[in-house]
Amino acid sequence: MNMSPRARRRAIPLLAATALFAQPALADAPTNNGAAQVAITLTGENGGACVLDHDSAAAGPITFTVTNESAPAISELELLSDSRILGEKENLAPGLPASSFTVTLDGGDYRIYCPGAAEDTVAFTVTGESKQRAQSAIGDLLDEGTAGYANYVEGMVGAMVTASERLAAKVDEGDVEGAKAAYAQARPFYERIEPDVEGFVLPGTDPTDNSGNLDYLIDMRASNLDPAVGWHGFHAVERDLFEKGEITDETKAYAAELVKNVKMLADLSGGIEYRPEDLANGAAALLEEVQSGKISGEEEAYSHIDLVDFAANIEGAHQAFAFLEPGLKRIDPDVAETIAQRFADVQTMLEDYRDPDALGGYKIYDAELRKSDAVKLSRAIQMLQEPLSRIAEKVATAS
Amino acid sequence: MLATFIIGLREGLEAALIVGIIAAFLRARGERLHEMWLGVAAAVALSVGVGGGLALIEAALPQSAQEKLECVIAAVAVVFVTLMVLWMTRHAAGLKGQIERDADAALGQGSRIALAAMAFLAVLREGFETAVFLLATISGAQTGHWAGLGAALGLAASVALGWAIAQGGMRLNLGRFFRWTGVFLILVAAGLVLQTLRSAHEAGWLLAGQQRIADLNWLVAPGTVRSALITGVLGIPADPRLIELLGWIAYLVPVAALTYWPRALRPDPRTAQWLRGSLAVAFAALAVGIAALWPQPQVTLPDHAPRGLEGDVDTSAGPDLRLQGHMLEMGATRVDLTGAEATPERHLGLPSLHRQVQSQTEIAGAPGEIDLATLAQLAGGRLPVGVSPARNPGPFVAEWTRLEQVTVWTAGDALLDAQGHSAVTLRLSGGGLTTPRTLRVDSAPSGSATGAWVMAPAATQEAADALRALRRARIEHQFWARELPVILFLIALALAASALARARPAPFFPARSL
Repeated sequence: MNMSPRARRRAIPLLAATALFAQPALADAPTNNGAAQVAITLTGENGGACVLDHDSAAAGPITFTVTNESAPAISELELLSDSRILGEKENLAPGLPASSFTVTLDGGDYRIYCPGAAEDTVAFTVTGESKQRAQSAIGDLLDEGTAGYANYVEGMVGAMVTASERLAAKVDEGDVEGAKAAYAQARPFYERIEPDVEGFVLPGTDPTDNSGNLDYLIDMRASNLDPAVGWHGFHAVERDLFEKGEITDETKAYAAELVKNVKMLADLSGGIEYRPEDLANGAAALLEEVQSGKISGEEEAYSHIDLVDFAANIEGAHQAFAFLEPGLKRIDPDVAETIAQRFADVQTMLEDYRDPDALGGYKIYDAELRKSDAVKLSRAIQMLQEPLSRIAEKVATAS
Repeated sequence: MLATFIIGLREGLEAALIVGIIAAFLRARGERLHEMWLGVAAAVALSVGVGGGLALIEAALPQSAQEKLECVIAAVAVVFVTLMVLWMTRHAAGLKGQIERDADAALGQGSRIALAAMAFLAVLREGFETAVFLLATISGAQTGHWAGLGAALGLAASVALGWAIAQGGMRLNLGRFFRWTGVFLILVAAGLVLQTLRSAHEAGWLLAGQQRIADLNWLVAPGTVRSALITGVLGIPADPRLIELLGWIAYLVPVAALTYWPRALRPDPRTAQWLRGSLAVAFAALAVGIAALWPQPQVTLPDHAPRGLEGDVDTSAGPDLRLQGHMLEMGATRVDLTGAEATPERHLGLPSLHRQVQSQTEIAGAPGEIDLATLAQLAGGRLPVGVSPARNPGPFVAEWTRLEQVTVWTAGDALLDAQGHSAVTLRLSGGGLTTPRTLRVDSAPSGSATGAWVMAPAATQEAADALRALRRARIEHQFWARELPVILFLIALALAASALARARPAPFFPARSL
């Protein structure tokens, strides 16, 4: 049974009061079979004594096991709270098998009364509270979710390092086709978790300065090119591979720099703690990514694997939502259900665009497909954006 | 072996005594004992069956249920023994030492069955417990057979004593038996009154008046044969309580007076009737007087409590907490508790109501616009998740909300415990954002404190102690100022009824025609 820091602090004055009695303050009784175990021994020494192996226990079920070793004068034992008898054992003769009783106690001061002992009353302290309420459970569920999501992000970052190293290796080999395939494989990892990692800057630089902004350095594209900083990262490699169709020394330099920056990102993002609203805001940002970058086709302007990024963005948003879902179901079950349904709808829709032969597993998002399907895709995302945008506030205010 | 012998003797004695008295009574009247023995045998069989069954399924005897059973049976036994004593008082003089065997005057079938039932209950009273104990001694490996033998010998000794009482009663004629043993019987019944009160406490029915008033260890040193005899026969424990002494006296004095008041000094029927009437008035007056004059519980509950920061016992977390009706005041901040759902909950071992109140207020005067750099600063050096400098360059429309969450545990008018936290949320929109973002920030723009606080632990402890004292005082008050007057009033009613009614024979055992 874990005590909250608060409960532990509470225990201090209670234990201090206990120390006034003859027995020294001992640690909380250990738990076994779901109940704290307290052994009470009755001995005939010093005119009869009633000895507890632990004089405190955490709130909850507590089993008292009473053994009369050598006290013919003590044949009864009671557990009292004020004048209320909460448990008792009678007919305790020396040599008889130990007998036990289990009671569920809340935090507070109790007494063990052993009539016939020289010191016939022994204090017993219970610390903490025996139950948790549903209200705090929401906070616990959300905390579990954020911890789970942090693991997910860490896994994605690790995979991204591996995938970009593989891309760099293919580029170094001068294998254009191999590098194209490696590029398509490396993209989804970043796209799934982009909002969580895009806020990082190189140590000592301003977040608005693109030369120190890791997101720019890893994922800049033609549409947001900062002439002062120039081409970097994935899309610089993409341009060389897909538009120019050749690998130059510059391409190799881009790839090497990408690996370096991805590793830097992995270092910076390791051990980061998320708040529930971070997951919600991140998912909302991923959907905006889809709308602004993927459906317009500007993200993968040369490789046209926008639908691969599209699927990765949706998957990342879905993951973030899934980690919030248990807590959100308690806060607003209707919204949780709506969002889950809309995610399912988008996934179903994406199935139509699957193409096992295409690079990255999805159809090439060329001008023709964009013209015919952009509105439909955009509308499906809008349907999801609306309910999803409401959850950040809900989880931020539920604690 | 001695220890188990003593327990066996003590447990057995109470039942043996009552059965012995019933046997003597029946024999003295020339009744047969078949029904009584049947009752005893049935109780023994049931006890052994239940005890053995519990041992088989390795379950413990539900102690509180057992105590309730003991309490009720002891109360019934008090009534039976008292009625027998009174019947004998009435007829002892008339019997003149002869055992009359008049078939016409025999007890009715109903009375014999009632006495058999009493014998059954008397054995059952400690029967379950004794059976469990006996089985434990037999199965106890450590001292093995000696413990079992001791317990069995103790039980046998108690049975022998019961038998001796019955024999004594039979040998002596009824008149003498009564005169010699009447005092003893009344003391036994008074002991049963005391045992009734003790089991009522152990059963959780009677909580008041449990102050220990004497230490009788010198008389009934635990673990001795003498203590087993005195406690077993006369019901006198080593640690008598106030309520037990009062009950003992309240039974002993009137019953002894009724029984032993010198015949010559007995008032004539008219005076007796007048006396009963006066006593009824006196009891009624006493009941009213106690109910009216018993002091109300006086416990001062602390009316305010300092706060401490979570994880820190220093009490600098703002103004004191004060509970005023349904308002929790924290300096100028007032939290209304009326709307919150109150859940009954035990907190710090005390029954309390748990409430959680959440309030949201817009922070007035906070900046309505925020740029990327300020946002990064607020979020601790990096942009918050979900805000991309590329897509969301800002500046954003900012809406600031202060969240106040307070959890309180109250008991009656008292604040038992409280904790809470304040937080500030920032809602961002515009600046490139399609949908708004909400995030929690650690400091309010106005500079007011955020974070968790708790009611100072010392204050909580103080409140808990005061509430416990109040609960004890209320239990005592409920008994002395409410329940006791009701009992006294019922006695007054009974006296008044008997004063108004004509003298009638004892209701339970039909008068013997002479």
